[in-house]
Amino acid sequence: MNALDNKKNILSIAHITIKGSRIEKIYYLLFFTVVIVLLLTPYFASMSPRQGKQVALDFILSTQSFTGLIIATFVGSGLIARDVDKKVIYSVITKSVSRSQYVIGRFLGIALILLLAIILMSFFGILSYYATLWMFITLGDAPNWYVYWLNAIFLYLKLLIIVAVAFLFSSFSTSTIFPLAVTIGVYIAGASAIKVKSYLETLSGANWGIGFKLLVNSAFYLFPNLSAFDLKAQAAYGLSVNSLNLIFVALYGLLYISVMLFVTVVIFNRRDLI
Amino acid sequence: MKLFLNIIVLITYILLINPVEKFSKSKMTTESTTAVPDVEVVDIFALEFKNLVSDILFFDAITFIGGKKTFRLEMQEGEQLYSLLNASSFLNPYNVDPYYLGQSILTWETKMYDRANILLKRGMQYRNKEWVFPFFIAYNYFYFMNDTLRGAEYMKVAIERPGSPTLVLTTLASRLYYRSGRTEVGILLLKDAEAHEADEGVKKIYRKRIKAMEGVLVIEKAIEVYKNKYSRKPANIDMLIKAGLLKSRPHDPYGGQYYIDKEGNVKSTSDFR
Repeated sequence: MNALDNKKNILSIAHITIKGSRIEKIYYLLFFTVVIVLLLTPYFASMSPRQGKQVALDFILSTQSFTGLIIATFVGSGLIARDVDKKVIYSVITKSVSRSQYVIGRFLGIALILLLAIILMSFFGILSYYATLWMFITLGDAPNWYVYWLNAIFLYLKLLIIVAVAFLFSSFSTSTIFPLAVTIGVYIAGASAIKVKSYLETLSGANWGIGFKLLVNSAFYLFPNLSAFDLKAQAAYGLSVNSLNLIFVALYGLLYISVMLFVTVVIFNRRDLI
Repeated sequence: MKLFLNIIVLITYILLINPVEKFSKSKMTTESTTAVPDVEVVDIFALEFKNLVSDILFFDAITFIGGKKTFRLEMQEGEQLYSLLNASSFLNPYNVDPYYLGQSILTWETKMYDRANILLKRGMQYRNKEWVFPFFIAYNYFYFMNDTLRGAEYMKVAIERPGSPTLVLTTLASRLYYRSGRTEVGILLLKDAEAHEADEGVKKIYRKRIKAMEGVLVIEKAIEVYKNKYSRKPANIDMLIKAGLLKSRPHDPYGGQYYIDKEGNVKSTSDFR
């Protein structure tokens, strides 16, 4: 099998994934989200006496995150698991498509769907902001759109990490619910681990036993530190972002995704599918 | 038959709407008397949506106040409002709304000045370019809590922040220092402001105030010596001059006459205005 075939196989799996997303009703969800954001942002912003701009952005960015998370967890954990469950997988990997090509192709497919979703939501987010501005003039200075797009990029990376985690658990799971439940668990752990860790480092956290602290610390190094990818406050409140730190975070994300996918491929290759 | 069943279902549904609504409303009033859970716990479970949760908690606070028929708030309601505002600003300390609402309601309405100041100190820490938060704290200490010295200290912080009305705040702070028996600190503050001021007209105002405060300080020091020497308070300034502790009566640039009041504090008939 040459390199060209390899590329072709991956791309065709990615293509199938994107085509399949219509069945997953992702587009309905996206449409629903952008309409909700467009309608509710002015209402939300009007509730704040002094911080209309920030509240508008809080709402826009939080809905983007939330919708992205739903797509990444539900679709990400379902892709491989459902193929195995419905035995579709046999017809795919017997035809000159290797298991690793299948995994990479699936990942590429959902990565493209998520990219499209984030670009769409970001544009509609800006539109919602200006709609709010048009209805309530007192929003203050324009937000920093540069940080807004940075936040979108890091949200994308975060969602890819979640998909990679979902793939890892799908690679050996026999049910479709298990990868979903574990991915949600990993997301919660990844988003809150830093807070629990820093709480334990404070005085009031000092009372906890050493065993619990060890558990939290090991969880912190094992689970992805998703809070680092969250730039919502920076985008809404115009806080400064350190570009060197962001480069580290991006590298960390890419490394985490690569390791997850590698392990997924290794496990999936050894899996007895028959 | 089928149509009949459908109609029955529809009617039951319509009949049920009202009791369900009543129940959820009654739940709201009982639930609203319970405070927000521990802010640290909320912080962990808010995951990456803590800004949004913070906004929602603030909206809760507004609707809580707006939902009341009278504007009077009981002590317990004040605590509840505080817990909402505290949680909101803990989750997102950059949002200024909770601080302003806390300052207006917790001080004037419920007289929970220390609570208002806890919130404002958070605002002062995170919105570290804005002078209004230390100013509000100074105001609360001075006006409500009778702690002029602390008031003066926070006023000094407010003065050092960009965009503050330096002249007004500096004279205010020096007055607070003077009232709390720290006239020297007030003078230092005024001298510092005078040295950094570019406008000649404003410099003049500062110099006038410095001169008045220096007059107070000279008399205050003489009173101290008098008390040590004679073990009693002097009744007026002439006694200080007779005792040789003061060469002459200092001149008040505001056109008044210095005097010693019953408590032994140095004042002027002009009240330095």
